[in-house]
Amino acid sequence: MVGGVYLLVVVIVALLAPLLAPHDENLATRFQDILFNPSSEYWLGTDHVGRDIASRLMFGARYALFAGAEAVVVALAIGVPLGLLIGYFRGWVDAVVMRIVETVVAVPAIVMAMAIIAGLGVGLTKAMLAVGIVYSMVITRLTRAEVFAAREELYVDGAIAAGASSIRVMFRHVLPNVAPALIVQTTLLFAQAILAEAGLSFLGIGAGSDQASWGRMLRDAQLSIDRTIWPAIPPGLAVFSTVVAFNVFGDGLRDAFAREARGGRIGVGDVQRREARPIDNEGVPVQEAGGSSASDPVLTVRGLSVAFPRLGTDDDVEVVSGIDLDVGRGEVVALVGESGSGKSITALSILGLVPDPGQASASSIMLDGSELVGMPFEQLSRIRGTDIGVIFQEPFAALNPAHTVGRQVAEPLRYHLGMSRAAARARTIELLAEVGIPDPESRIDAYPHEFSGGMAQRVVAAMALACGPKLLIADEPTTALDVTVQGQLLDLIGDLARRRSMSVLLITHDLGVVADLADRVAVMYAGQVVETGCLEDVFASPQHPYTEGLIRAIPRNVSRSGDLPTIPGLVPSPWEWPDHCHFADRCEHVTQECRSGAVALTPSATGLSRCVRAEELALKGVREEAS
Amino acid sequence: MSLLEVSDLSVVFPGGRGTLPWQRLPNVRAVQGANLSIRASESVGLVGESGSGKTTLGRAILRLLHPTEGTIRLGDFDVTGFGRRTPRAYRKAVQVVFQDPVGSLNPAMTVRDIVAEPLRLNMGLQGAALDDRSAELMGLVGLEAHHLERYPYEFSGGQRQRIAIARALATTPELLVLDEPVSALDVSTQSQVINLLERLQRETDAAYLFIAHDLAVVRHVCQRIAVMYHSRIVETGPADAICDDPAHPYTALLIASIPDPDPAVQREKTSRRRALGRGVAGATGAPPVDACPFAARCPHVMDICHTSFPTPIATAAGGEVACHLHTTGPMLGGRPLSELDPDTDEA
Amino acid sequence: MLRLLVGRLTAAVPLMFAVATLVFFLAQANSSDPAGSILGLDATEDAIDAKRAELGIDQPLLSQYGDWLVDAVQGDLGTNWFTGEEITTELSDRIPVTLGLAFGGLLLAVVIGCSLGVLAALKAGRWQDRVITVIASLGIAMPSFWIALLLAYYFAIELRWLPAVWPPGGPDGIGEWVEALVLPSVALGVAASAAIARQTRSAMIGVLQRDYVRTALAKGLPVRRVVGRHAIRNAAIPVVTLIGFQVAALLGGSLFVELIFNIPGLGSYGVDAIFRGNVPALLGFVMVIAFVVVLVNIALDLSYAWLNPKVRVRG
Repeated sequence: MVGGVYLLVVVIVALLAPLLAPHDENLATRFQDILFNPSSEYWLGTDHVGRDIASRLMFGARYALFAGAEAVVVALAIGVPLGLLIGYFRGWVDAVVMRIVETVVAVPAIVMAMAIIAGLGVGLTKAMLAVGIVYSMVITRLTRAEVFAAREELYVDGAIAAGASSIRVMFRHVLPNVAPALIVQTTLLFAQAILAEAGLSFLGIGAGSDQASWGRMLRDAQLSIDRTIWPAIPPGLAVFSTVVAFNVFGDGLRDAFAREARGGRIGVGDVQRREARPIDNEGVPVQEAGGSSASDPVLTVRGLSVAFPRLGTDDDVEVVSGIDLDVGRGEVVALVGESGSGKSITALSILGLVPDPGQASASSIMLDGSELVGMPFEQLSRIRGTDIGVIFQEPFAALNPAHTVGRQVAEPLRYHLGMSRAAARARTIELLAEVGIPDPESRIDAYPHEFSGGMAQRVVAAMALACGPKLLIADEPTTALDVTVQGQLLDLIGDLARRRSMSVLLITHDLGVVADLADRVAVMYAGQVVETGCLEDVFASPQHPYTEGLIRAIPRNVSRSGDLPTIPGLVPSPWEWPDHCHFADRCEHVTQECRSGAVALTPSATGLSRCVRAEELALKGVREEAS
Repeated sequence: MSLLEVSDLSVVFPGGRGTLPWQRLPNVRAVQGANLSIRASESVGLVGESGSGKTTLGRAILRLLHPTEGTIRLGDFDVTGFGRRTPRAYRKAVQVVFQDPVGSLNPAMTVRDIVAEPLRLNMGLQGAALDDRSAELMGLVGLEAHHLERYPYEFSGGQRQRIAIARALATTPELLVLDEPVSALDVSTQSQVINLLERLQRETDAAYLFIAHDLAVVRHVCQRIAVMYHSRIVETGPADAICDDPAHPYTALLIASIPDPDPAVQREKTSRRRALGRGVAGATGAPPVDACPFAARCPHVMDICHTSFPTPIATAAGGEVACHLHTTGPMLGGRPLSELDPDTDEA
Repeated sequence: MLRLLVGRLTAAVPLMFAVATLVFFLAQANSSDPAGSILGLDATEDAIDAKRAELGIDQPLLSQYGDWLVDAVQGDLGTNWFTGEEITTELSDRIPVTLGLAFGGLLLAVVIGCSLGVLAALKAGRWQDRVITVIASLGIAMPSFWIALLLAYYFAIELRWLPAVWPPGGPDGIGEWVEALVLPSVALGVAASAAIARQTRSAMIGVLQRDYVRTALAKGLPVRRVVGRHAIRNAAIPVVTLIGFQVAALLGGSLFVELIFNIPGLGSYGVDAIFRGNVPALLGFVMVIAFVVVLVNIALDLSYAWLNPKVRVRG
């Protein structure tokens, strides 16, 4: 808010100029005191006709603020109503007005202002009126754009459906949401207006010779430039610093209004090594009952935690806490959880791509024998590219809209495997065919937006498979797709896994997807793994109340009456996690013991469970109908 | 006597501008020839995937856009006959709950303003009467009166949907249009809101038009279901009949595609699904005017499917189906698809 | 692409027409009588009338407009009321000068602005970013004519490294051109480079958060490649829009800079025309400037199509 303070000073100086200025604005105190340097009598020296620069500078503040205000008021008075009207009603009025706006904007602002001044006549007021008219075009365009965006918002539809008239919608719903952008733009425009006034006065068509505007002072300074540069310095600095102050103020406003995303640094947080926490099995990898994974694990994760700094405090808060995970060769493991469970961050950490400013740490992440924790970035990049493939949720977001599909699939082939262009192209066509894209020879040169969602996701799969990875991480791969297309993609992933003996880590919230594809399941809740086991076991006889609740809460295609079973309450936010069982507050089987301390992941009848009562509870699975 | 009657409704959006100033892109046929009726206090589901036109149909009923052809009647109102302004009485009678709990509430308004708006505009309530009703509505959806002073961003997704529901119920509407009301919610929140909606329907006697893509969710809330594919309503009928024994191949594909958490059931579904859908693409491009839009993917497709859209006929279960399998070829005549012999495609 | 070009050109015609109409009637709104000021204070009534007939300003406004328009379309922008010369000729001498100046400023602005912007984005939050952001915030606040004054004073008058005035008869050869244009281009380019730096930084930060950048990293590509091949092309789009605005701003700024350095370009021509109420000259000046801006914007639109494949396919 430094800008704000400075501006306040300028305003005060402007208002009190006649009191503060030691000399007169326009008359020289002594005609022969020409071009003096700063002294105690003339604080900033004198100009070429003996006038005190400091005094003129103070009066200049008035002209600057007046000029800016006039231009801005005119711009808003014309631009805002016009922008609101054409933005909301559109139609032929919009087309006509926008043509006018484009016409005025086609000519540089100063030139346009000059043309208007040619018609109106010179003088500060008329000049700033001209500037205001030109700026109103900018405001119109901005308001219109904001109104367009606001109109698309569902709350506008809601208001219309509630019976609001167009006027009411415009003023009560759209305008308050448009206001922030307008306010920011106004501040910046004020600054531009001051610059414009300085320019026009400099040219001689703004302030007259009897008005000590800063621009006029610069014009006068130019006349004596061959003798001394000094008279040009104070007014220039005054304009400069005032404009900077406005800009800083405006930027500050913008930041205050919007929550601008913080992280800009490309997310390359590597995973740091740390020791396994004592609570988790004293550092010894856990063997599951019937441990099918123990034999030939492709991926083993031990003690993975991810922490983010908490906004407004100095602490970090953990969003993922002490995850242990195993994926065997050729096996599909599903990591299931709702939003807030931390499953996606877990996947990103394995890749070493936790977004800045998050920090991941683990005691071990082994990929087929190589320890990823502590590995230097270049080496990790290589492994990421060749041994791990990734499919993210949104296919169009994952593909670069500016590159052809073929180029993106070929990129890892050329970069990691060193293939020639021709070889990579041939292999790309094979890959596209393998993922089921019809007519790959011609589709290879198409752009992502030319594909449907399901097809685009197949392209992403092709990209992921390019270098023959050992592990495929699929993060909600079907969530963004239609249900009839979803099944086909799942079939594809299953086929690919079998054919290539590739392991899959499938991350999803949808238990049906899990039932379709997975061999083993790990259930996550509030940053922890709460249960693991093979698919049949976990779904038929869950060993954790959350798993039970999740299974029963899903609407299924069966006739039923009465309420759906639900899990009461909400998923707690990471900073609300208690030290004891995270699920305790929502659990219908909770006891005193559950709240006594942290709960470890221990072997259960079918796998692992983080419930102290797992053995005694007979929880209902997917085959049992309640009531 | 039905509360809402939609007859032969079509909604066509004009195409945008092309590169050259006089060019126009082709029109978008979002809904074609739709027929739907909802009785008072009945809950009807409208199911379809993206591009099916279900949201557009809902918006037409809400008078958020104007249909190109066809009529909509609500009780005594001819909705399509309204001029530019929609009568207050209609706005009072028909309300909406949207999918997106974030975008559907104005971030600059307090919950009180949001919930009170329809009361002020349509019922002229003020002062104490307004406050009382607002607090009552909060209670109805399981929230507290003190929540009225807060802003939407202070609430979770599920709570925001409750606020949206409170707003929708403010004027005790006769018809509530719900456009994907639980799709953006977590499983645990979803079931809470579904239970709430069911309870509210019993308590307020409002009719529901429940628009969704998830057939399983719709089955819990609705007595009747209409299935849409690529701008056409292809089948309607009682919820149980549609979900257990459909008459249209698309409905069958939809049911087979819904993943089931029971692994044994899912295995069976997977093999059924592979048999039911041809090709890999979803519904793309413009829907045909004189053909069945599902022809490209239908495992039972015949020549006539490419040249004309089938006339709907009544089904044995009490709904309607628009499919040539019922009027040509195997002549199912309204019986469910399960009566087709899988090898010979005959009834 | 070709269709896009034709489309834009066709749309440009009515725009130029609209600009012409608007400016014609604006300029005529001033009620002062040019004939009097041309001939001087001691002109007789008859002489003034004759002059007015000669200039064609005794005709009704609409027919003046029509005549001017017909001539303008054929490339004849009329006769300068004060010098008697063909305006088209006068302007065509000055166009290369102003274009050279504006282009110099633009080149500087784009090179410096984009580099700084990308650097700031890659080091977002660190000291390099803060320094660049502060410098950019200061840069956009500097009036170009003030910088011109300072530069002219220090480099030309004090240090005498570079010429303070335009070589009489025009610069001779590349060396003299560059020498003559360096200071004015720098003065012009400072504010533009600051604006471009800010926009580039913000666009780049936005792109770096996108999913396809994450995917590229997931493919194991090195950071430099991800930035260079994937990020820059998409970040370029909003920056290109800004460059379009900056071209218009640079042409506007050239007015001042030309005055300070005494450069015989379009800017000084236009200012002179306003002061003297020289309507046809003013009209010609505005039309030429508008034409240049429109052409530049068409070029930028085409580059959009190259950067963003979605635009190519539409229509």
